[in-house]
Amino acid sequence: MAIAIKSIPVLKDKVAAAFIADADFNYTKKKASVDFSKQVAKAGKILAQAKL
Amino acid sequence: MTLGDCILIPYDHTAISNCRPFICANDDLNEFFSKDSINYSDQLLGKTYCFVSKEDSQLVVAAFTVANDSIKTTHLPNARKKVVQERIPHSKTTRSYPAVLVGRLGVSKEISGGGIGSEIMDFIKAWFIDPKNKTGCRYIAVDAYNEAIPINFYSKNGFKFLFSSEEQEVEYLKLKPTDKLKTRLMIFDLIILKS
Repeated sequence: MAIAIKSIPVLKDKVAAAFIADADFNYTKKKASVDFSKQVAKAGKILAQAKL
Repeated sequence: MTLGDCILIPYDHTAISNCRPFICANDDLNEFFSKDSINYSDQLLGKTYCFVSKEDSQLVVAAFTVANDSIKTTHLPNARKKVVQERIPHSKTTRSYPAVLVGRLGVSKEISGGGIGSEIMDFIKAWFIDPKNKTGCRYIAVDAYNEAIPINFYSKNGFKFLFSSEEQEVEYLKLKPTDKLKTRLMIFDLIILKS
């Protein structure tokens, strides 16, 4: 059997605080700062042809 | 070859029987995609998709497994820590950030090296920021093999380690300090992308 896929453990205390600070920073300072419209359009074409 | 030359299909019994064996450069990945991925799917623990070549429908170009997950946090904000601990010792702030976990991702040995792995990462990111996505998803998480090539690959694609050190991750996973960490959790914050 291959290595099992890990689940994400609950973050606590200092690790949690650092994670939340980073998440809040990204939301307030970096939200939508990377133009991903070309990749989204390309993904749309892939999904339109997909057989799911 | 690019993803535009491929069709996305579920990697299920039909795909496995219709295609030639999917072989990538990592033995553990080969074991996972040949045996374990179906079990994950049967138990609804993860769903595997693959890209097959339009020209050669028996060629699996790449495969990846995704599962719903979340990043949960629990802590006391510093400013309130002292007061709260004095008055309500068990009160904690909890948050949950929805995420999709890319459990495994592999590219065929026949194809690898041409940048298709990064194309797949872009596809997965775009898939989950699509306004048609029915649920919210803030993060892409990956469970990357703790080896230079995969770690560099995910770093190049904007992923950061969830834990600042291997020692911290070992502690969180409740492993023995002497255990080798076989995989590392890495994350990408989708909030930075503009669709």
